[in-house]
Amino acid sequence: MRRARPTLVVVALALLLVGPTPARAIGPSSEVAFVLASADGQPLAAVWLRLFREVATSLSEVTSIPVRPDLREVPMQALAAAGVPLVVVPIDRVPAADASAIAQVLRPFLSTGGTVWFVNGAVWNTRDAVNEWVRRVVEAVRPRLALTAVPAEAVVYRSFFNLKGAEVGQLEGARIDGRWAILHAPGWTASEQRSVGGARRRLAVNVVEYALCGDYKDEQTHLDYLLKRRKWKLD
Amino acid sequence: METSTTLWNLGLDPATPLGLLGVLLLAALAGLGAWNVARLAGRRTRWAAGLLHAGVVLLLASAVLDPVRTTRAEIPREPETLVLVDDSASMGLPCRSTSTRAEAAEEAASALARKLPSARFVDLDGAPISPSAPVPTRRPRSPLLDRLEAWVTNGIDGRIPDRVVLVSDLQDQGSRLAPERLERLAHLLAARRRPVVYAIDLSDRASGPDAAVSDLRFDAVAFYRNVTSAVVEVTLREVDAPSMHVEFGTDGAWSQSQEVPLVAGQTRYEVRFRYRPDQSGPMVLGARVSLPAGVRETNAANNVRLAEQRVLRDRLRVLHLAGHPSWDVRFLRDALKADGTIDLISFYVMVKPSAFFAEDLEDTVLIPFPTHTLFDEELPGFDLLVFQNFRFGSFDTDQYAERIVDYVKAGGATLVVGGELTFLAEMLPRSPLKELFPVRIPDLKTWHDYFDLGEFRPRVTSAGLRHPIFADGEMPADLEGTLARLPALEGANLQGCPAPSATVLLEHPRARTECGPLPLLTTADLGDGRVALVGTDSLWRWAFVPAEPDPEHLHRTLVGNLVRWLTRDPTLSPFELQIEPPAATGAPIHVRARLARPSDGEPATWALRITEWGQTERAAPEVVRSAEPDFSWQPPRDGLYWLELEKRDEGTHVRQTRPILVQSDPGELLEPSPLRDVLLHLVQASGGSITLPERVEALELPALDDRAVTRVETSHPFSSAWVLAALLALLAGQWYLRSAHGH
Repeated sequence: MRRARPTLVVVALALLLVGPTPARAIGPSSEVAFVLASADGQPLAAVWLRLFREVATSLSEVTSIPVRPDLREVPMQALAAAGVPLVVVPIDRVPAADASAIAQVLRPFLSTGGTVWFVNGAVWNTRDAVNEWVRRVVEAVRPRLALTAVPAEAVVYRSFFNLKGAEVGQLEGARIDGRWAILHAPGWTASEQRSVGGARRRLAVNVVEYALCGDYKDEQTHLDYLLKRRKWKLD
Repeated sequence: METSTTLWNLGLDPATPLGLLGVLLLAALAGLGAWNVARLAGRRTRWAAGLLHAGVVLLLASAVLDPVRTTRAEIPREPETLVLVDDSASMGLPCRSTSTRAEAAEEAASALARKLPSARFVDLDGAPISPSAPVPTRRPRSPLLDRLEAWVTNGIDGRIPDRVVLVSDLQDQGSRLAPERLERLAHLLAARRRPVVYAIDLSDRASGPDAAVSDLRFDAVAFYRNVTSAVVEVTLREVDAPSMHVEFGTDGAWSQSQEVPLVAGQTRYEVRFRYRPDQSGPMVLGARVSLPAGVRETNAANNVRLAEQRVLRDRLRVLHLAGHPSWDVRFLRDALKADGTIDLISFYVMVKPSAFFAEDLEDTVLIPFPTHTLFDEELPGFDLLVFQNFRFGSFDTDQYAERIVDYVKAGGATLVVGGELTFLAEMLPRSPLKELFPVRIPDLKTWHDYFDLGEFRPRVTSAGLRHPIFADGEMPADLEGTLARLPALEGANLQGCPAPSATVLLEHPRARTECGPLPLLTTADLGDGRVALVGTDSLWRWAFVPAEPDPEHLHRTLVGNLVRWLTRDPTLSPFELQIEPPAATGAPIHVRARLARPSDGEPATWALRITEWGQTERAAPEVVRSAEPDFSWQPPRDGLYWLELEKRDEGTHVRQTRPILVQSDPGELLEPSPLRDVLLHLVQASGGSITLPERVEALELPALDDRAVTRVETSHPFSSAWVLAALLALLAGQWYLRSAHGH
């Protein structure tokens, strides 16, 4: 990466010369909006709103993604109506909602390309129960679907920032149609936000980039290999 | 002079059982008669009776054994001579004393006709010809040995000739292929000594330098845009030059060449060329050899060789460039990746330009945009470039503007998908890149000139309904109903009027340009390539429909059909161009269009344009109005032609092109080196000889030791009434003697 810096600088200067780019899509719905879904319909804690505002700010400041500055809160039952393919579900306590009812909402959302990210912010004595609830939801979405550890080499850890798993904590997930359609951060206690906030913000950026680009980074880093393997290059 | 001979033999062979029985009966009769004679009184009487008995026995023996007299009259036989005059293509080659070998053959045949008035003159088919007629050179190959073998084995018209005289340049490529057959023929000729083979050898007159493309080797199947190679085999004869120039090309253009240094004594060279097929279907390969100026070749007919290769599509190579990640990018990417026939390479601008110096970027995985690699080195390898919400001019793309446009005009394709960046570059109206837009670039003054921000449901135009993208069977049958059911789109790029050659498939229900509804999906041909423009960045809303999933997957089908149409996938064409080869040499070629869907069988205007390799001006098309046209075309000469069939419907033009190679059998002209030694071997085995045409008068054709029988007479001298009368008289005498002097 460091070797590429001079080129990036040249490119940046070139872009600055042609003027600032309005980072927004044509229509509001094509901008990336942070939709926070409440599993049990209760208002979300302020710490979550603060965290994801910071994430939205990071996305706006650093990435090229047009992001709506305001957060949207929706109940899980209204997921489909939100019309946004990425939904974050912060959970502080075991939701009262039935796991199978949530799975029923998630099923068409996921099968048409949506990504859901459960964030377990419960304190230590209820954390396992929340994790168990998330597992039940995932298993109810499809037969034989289950949460597994997202491996360290997965593209979500390097879809924008090059993250080490140890910094951000282990991610779990379930793959649908070849992508991690369900992600789960099992230990994001809200009280730890101050100490590990930077790392979590970066992971959130990566999750948004992953939802938008899929395995793009896997493909791109192997460009030269792909060109040669497919004989596009005249050796 | 007639001579005759007389032979005697017996009608009843004593060696046969019947003959033996006859002889035994005669012997018994003779013995019984002798015993009776011995019993007569008087010596004189016994002598007289003995003589009579001997006479009876002799006459009976002649009657039983039936002696036959045969008289044969004979005269010397005139040998049956067959003169074969070679009428193959190589006889058209030049020689020293006459302009062609055929003229030399004609002179030799006339001389032979004077020398052998009874000889039959035939061509290579065995058909009679006049010895004084000009010798045609229409036959691509000389089946000399085939003919000779047939005449030696089975004869001609049921008779094996006594002599065969070949008037030929002694060239037969078949003999190279079957040496064992030659040996068998030589053995047969040596054993029979009939026919005796003579040859009037025209081959020694054909000398001089010659370079021939003797073979063009390549894989039967190549893959679209995959590098492959072909080997050009060149054979040289009597060439004294430092080098030769070998060219190679595909589909009508000599695109590569190599200067090959020549090595003394080496006559065969192999030159390898690598190339990348740039269209699927049949492709014509060509190889051409030429010698340095000043070297005059005897045969220029073998300097070029053309062949046809099948090119299959392997996978489509799609380059996807996006101005930034977005849901529209994500779902377009999903649709492209879901297509198993697509190899996707993507580059998205991931970082905000103003953030390049941010500390946060230290730990990113960003890589530089490989502008040079993509637009200089690898551009021809892509089937389709997708510019999605891409700001033209960024990343030095303006430097490659002409190259990108040339790539499309040479058969490539681009899909421009709208967004807030698409028309943003101020350089666009002045850049060659504007050709990638099938609409006029809008004159944008304020931010509000760029977009219509409202929601809308696009309308399919009448031309769109007929266009292959929407007329394809994979599309929903009730397209309007599906569009009404799917979520509305939001936000459209304001654009100028569609280009005159463009087809608008989808249009905005409210927003307008100065010349009509705002186009939302527009397609056009650009040179040999194709371009398309989607004027919104919200097409993804047709893909992400969690409230009511779309069972018909309109978004995915639309993207797939767009890619197929842009890359000229023949399966998306409303018709298939069919070329029926000529039934016989010189017969016309039939060009037909077979409709993919019989329901499309409304009469339409069809235009067939045929252009020959190397012609700079396009020929005028032949235009008919029909449901399924059937054109008949007579190629004026051998060569490579481009057939371009266009269906002109109201508002839509669909075109298909195919190369067609019209090539007579190049036959022996590819390598016209005579096989004198082979023929000499056969001639000597038969007892004949080879001579030069100017010595035909002196050619010695020895008379055959053979005579023809003109008359045969047979007679049975002992099968007559006189013999019977004599027998009866002798028996009467015997009866008298016995009755007068017997017991």
